[in-house]
Amino acid sequence: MSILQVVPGDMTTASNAVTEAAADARGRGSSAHLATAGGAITGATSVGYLSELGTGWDDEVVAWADSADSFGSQVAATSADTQGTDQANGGFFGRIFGLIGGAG
Amino acid sequence: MTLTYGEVTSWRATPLGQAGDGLKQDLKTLEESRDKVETQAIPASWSGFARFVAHGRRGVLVAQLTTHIDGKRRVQRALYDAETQVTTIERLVTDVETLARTQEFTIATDGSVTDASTPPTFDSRWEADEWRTSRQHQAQAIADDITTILAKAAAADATIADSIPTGHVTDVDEYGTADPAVAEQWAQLSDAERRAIIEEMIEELAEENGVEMPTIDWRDESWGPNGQWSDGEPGTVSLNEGLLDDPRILHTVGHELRHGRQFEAIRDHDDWQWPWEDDPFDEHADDGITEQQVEEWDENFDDYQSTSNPGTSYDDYFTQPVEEDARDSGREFLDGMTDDELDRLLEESR
Repeated sequence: MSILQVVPGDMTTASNAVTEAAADARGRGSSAHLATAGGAITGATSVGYLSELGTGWDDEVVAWADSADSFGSQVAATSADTQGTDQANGGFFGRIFGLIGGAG
Repeated sequence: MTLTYGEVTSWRATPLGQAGDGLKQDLKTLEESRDKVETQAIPASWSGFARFVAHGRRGVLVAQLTTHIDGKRRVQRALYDAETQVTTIERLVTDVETLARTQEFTIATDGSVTDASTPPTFDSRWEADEWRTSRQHQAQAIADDITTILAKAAAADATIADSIPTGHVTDVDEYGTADPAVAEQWAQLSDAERRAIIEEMIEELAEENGVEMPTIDWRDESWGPNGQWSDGEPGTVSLNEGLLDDPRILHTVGHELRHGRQFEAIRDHDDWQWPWEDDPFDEHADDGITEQQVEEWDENFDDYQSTSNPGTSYDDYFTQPVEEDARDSGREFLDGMTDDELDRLLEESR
């Protein structure tokens, strides 16, 4: 059985960094900017492409931010549960691996 | 559908640059988020199996956002390129409108040029003919400028379309996009030149694929489909002439000729030969076609899902193996086309 070692302060810093990264990423899907571009080239085929791309990118960024948030929460949970065995925590991350769908 | 002159006169470069700037800001923030996850998510003080698993998950998050960032950067660059192109277009539109006004011509939204001047009184028929010829030359010069403008607009459109990353826009993923230089050149060709290039393409593709040169059947633009392959010896490739002004027709050519190849591969696969004779299927195998594929195509053609049949959905048609394979070929053909190749094909057709 391997040994789990955490420094709670470091884990909190790590968790906060990830959730901060997630929060900063939200809203950066760029669909509004692509709509601006589409409005400038009336009749072009790429107008429709830009609209579809913008929707896809917005969804992708939301999904990524949700995944990162979830990851950050689990880092914090690992720190909080330092009494658990290494295997239990590894299993916990392993179980959530499939639950963090993420983008792409 | 091709751009009209009227639409292009409304194009503005500044919003394209603003959009590029907006993407630049989003990219900066996303890169910071990615870097934060990459460098700070897993502290050095954390050890054990759970860290190993978390390391893998972090890698996935970083890779996902990197892919997103790379695609976004590509579109950002394309928007800046398109901004430059549309700046030129705006200037050309101003110039041609000024020229037309000065010379007493009007330009309609479809780009047609009309003489709006009042003819003077002439002392001789010769003078009248001279004046008429001069006016025709002036009108043609304006029409040529409009053709140039529309060609540059096609190139700007293709610049953006060509930058769209895979996995987001079905039309781009399935059908491909024309290179901007190809789009610009195609816009400047006459319909007769486009037909000549396509017919030369068909001849070369048929020879390359071991398919007998098909009959080429140009259909009126009121015909529904983009194209169709009717098998036979020889086969017939039908093309919608309403698509002649759209380089997307190059996908259709590659697509329909691939159907011809599919039928030929099935015939050669089923052909019987003596042990000492060459197997006609070998040429298809050499090009990467497998027996399994051919059996799948044979089965599909026996139960072909056509949208002209009641109860067949567009999805039934779209997802069948022969159509997916033909679309792959059409997409590769369009994506791989260059302006030099168009020049060569036009030259060969003469």
